Amino acid sequence: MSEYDVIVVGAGHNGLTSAAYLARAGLKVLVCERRAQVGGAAYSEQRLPGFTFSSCSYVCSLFRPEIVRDLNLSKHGLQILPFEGAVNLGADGRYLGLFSDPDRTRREIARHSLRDAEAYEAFSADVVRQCRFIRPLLMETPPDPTLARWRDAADLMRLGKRFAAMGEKAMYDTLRLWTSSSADYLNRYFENELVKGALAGSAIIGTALGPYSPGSAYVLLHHFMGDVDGHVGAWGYARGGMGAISGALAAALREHGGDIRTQAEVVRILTRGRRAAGVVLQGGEEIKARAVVSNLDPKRTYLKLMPREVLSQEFRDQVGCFKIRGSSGKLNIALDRLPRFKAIPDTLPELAQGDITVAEDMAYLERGYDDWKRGRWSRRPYLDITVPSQIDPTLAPEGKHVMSVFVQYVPPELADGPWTPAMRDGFADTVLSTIEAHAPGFRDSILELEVRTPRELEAEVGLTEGNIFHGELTLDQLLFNRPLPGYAQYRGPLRRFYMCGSSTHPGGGVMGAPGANAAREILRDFSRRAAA
Amino acid sequence: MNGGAFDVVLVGGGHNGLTAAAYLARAGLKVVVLEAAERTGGAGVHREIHPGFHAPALAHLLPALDERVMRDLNLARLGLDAHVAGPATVVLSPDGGTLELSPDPDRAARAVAAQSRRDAEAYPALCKRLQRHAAALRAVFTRTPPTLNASSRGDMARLGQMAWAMRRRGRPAMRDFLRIVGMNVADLLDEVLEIPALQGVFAADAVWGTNHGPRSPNTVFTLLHRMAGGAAGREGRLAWPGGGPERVVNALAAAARAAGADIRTDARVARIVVEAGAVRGAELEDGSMISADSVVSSADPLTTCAALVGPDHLDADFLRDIRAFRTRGLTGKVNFALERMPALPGAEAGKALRWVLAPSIDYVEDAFDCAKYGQAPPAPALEITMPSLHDDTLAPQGKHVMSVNVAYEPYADEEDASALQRTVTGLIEPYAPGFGDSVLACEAMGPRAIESTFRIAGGHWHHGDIALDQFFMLRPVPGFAQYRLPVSGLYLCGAGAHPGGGMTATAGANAAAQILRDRRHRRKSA
Repeated sequence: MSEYDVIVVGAGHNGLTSAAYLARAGLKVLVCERRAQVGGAAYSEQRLPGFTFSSCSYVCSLFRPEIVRDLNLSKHGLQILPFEGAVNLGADGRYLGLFSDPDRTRREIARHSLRDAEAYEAFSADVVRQCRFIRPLLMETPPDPTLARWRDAADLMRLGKRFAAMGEKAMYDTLRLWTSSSADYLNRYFENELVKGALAGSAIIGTALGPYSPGSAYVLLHHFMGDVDGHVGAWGYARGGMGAISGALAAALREHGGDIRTQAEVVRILTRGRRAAGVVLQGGEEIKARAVVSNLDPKRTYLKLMPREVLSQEFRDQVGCFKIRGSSGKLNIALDRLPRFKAIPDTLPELAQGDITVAEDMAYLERGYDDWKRGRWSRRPYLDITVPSQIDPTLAPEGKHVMSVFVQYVPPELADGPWTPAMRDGFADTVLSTIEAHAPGFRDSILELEVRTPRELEAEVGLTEGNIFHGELTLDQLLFNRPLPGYAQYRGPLRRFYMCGSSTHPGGGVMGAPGANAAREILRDFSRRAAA
Repeated sequence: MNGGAFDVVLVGGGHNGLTAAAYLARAGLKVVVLEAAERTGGAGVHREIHPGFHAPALAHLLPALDERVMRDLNLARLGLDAHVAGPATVVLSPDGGTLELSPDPDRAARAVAAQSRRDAEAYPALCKRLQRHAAALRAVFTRTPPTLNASSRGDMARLGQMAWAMRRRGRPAMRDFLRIVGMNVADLLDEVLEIPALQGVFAADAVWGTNHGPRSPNTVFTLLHRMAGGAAGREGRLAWPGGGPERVVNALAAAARAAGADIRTDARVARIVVEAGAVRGAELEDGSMISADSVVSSADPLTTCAALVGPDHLDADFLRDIRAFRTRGLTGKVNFALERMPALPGAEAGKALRWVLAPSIDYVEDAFDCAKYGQAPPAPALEITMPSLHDDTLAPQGKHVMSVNVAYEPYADEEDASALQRTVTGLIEPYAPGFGDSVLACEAMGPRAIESTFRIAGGHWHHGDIALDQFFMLRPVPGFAQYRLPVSGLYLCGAGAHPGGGMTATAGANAAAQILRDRRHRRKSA
């Protein structure tokens, strides 16, 4: 008899979400985590006494409100502190403010271009309409048009009906959104480069695409998804950093009777014939279960943990072709004082409370991408800077601050070879100089600096090649192709084996949706088995 | 002078316009073709770049002509060959190792084996895999695209048919297609091949004539699109037709005349006349008016709508959409008149060859990364043919013409033809020592020159970029991808309509079929 019903490998936010849903449904669940703390890339870290960093991921605006509700995460400590504004910094002291209030945003855009201010309304309406169409899909298993099952056909027809309900014009817009570049999509609406840079910036995060790349347009949707959710999380920080999300998920899991073991690295999936039967930990301990779920990416899961003989060579080759190239870096900085971004007027301090982005125009972003293609970090990088301690006093001592800097683009390996400490310093210097140019005196206020290239993200957090989404978000790896054609519904090629991380639909970002969807499929299988 | 009573005015006598004219005249309509230049053929003509030296204006390798057009217009009788052998490809490599690839993938594999056993197997497998997908894609080429109008039973049925046709290919083929169609060609090539020059040639083939680099997503689609054009069963086989593109366009003109169409050259249309939401005909530059209740334009969509029809007769949303249709070209064309045969590898054998300078994926991507910002790349990819090697009508005995496609050359208001010439000459010289000295004349055209020479707004060879977001139901503008434009009686029949470019005449044939259907149903409004 198995000790557990389900073992989840990896306590990332999706693994914890899956486990919590399964435990809530009455299954006996264990999560095994290699590191000392849970959360995967959604964790908070105290590197300097009194300073708390969101070490990797730093935004929670995409987290599914359904999950917050279902798992009662507010009760378990998840609290969102709202902020009002964000800003995009251009060249020569120009800036574009963005506000949670769309009217304020429109007036601000008008300062740069009257035409674009009008266009912004149309743009927002069009994008929000697309978000509304996609939103339910996030919490659904993607139908597979290549399977001949009734379930997929029915799901596709339902999807088709919802699609048709948008009206003909919006349907064409959907087709364009999924095939265009963000540059072409934005050029339809806007003329001002600072406006386009601001919007296009959010479309390149974590991708191996530039704004000119076809297929980059739909990533714009993510930025607006939070608005459609209609909750304040769209413009807010998790109190205590991203670890608060994982902490709340872990607490919810435990409340429902689930177990978590940290410093318990899974080195092999136990199999019996053609089905998963448990896990083997570092040190040899075997834990049996009726089903196993992996929160790791497919390469790590299938090429490292799965015994070779259980998978066909064809499947292993497919996994080998899965694209998971990292393109992001992160700096976490403890500051002695609040940085002063000289472009931001004193009368609008709220602009510095949210995302401060450096994206003067789309060509700037595209050139950064060109550098990445050539195995260099962007000489003039896109930055997404946040100083959440302005709103969350728990993150730093009085008067001092923590700054999170997310960087595109950073390659997993350099043209000249693997990352070295000297190269990492060079990368950090590029980023710090860029910030210094916008906030003179900033470098002098640095108390502590942590630099993460894709190499650190892989080595410390377990993200293969440092890709923050467990796999690139391109059409060939989305929906019924994610992570692999034929294995896009959370089930792996082995019976009783599942995947629940960002490499499954709907992909990355701290959403929790893959975890929730996987749990639903697992419960389906369990109840089918129970009923049989 | 009033031109008399015509049913159809055809604006533009390029290959699609001539095809549509021929079909419509065959169906008994009174058709007049108005061509601004002194002869028909559009960019399919040969240009005399030096006395006695004739080079193809743009395309030098054509897919087989749409088999319906060959058959219905009896073009074999007019001297066109349905089956022409395509050239072998000589892959130029700076390290000196040239690879000669037969158009037959299995034979090519033997040449590849010398450099890589793995690629010797993978190359023909990849060719066949792509050919099968191209054949499936081709199935949508020859029909008017459906709309997404949910209340149109016919359109919904056709979408259903398409989905079913895809399913019938079987799960592995369907899965493969759905996975790779949106991918960038570089990633696909990295999965399958290892010889850099072999990857380079595929990468270049995926992007000739488009505004993408090999690392741009949707370049597997553009490769399939290039392969899919033409006749069924001849996917991917581009060749120099006997007599060159000029013979094709001349045969189409002859077919149009034989069917009863009136063809007028030196007849430049100044505007398409619209009254009360319907076309009345065309007004020529000399002020004369030719009346007709249908006007079919083979000009590009932007010229047709913004210039010839004009903003007064089109609603603002449509105009905005048509202006957002990407028409800027990124491809150059350089034609040389040569004193003697250049020493390119294999040239002396006198058979049909194309030489490709694209030694790796990165080489092509580097060129793209320059051009996309509007800068002429110092090292573009080149596709070179010398049709005079096997067609002796093009140049005097012992002398030659060389035709070169350049990926990429940006659209520039102040185009520098001599810089383009120097760049291309400099790139060819190492592979053909003495080449520079043998040049008698050169015509180097970037998109700006192509725009003014052939009256194609933006200078794009296909009247608008080939890309998933400008294909099928979205080409040129969603809701108007069925050859009908938003003025009653006005149609589009050129490369700016489905399925896009490649000199296959498919757009013209499809448009004519749509026009005839509409006339039968007495439906003249869009």
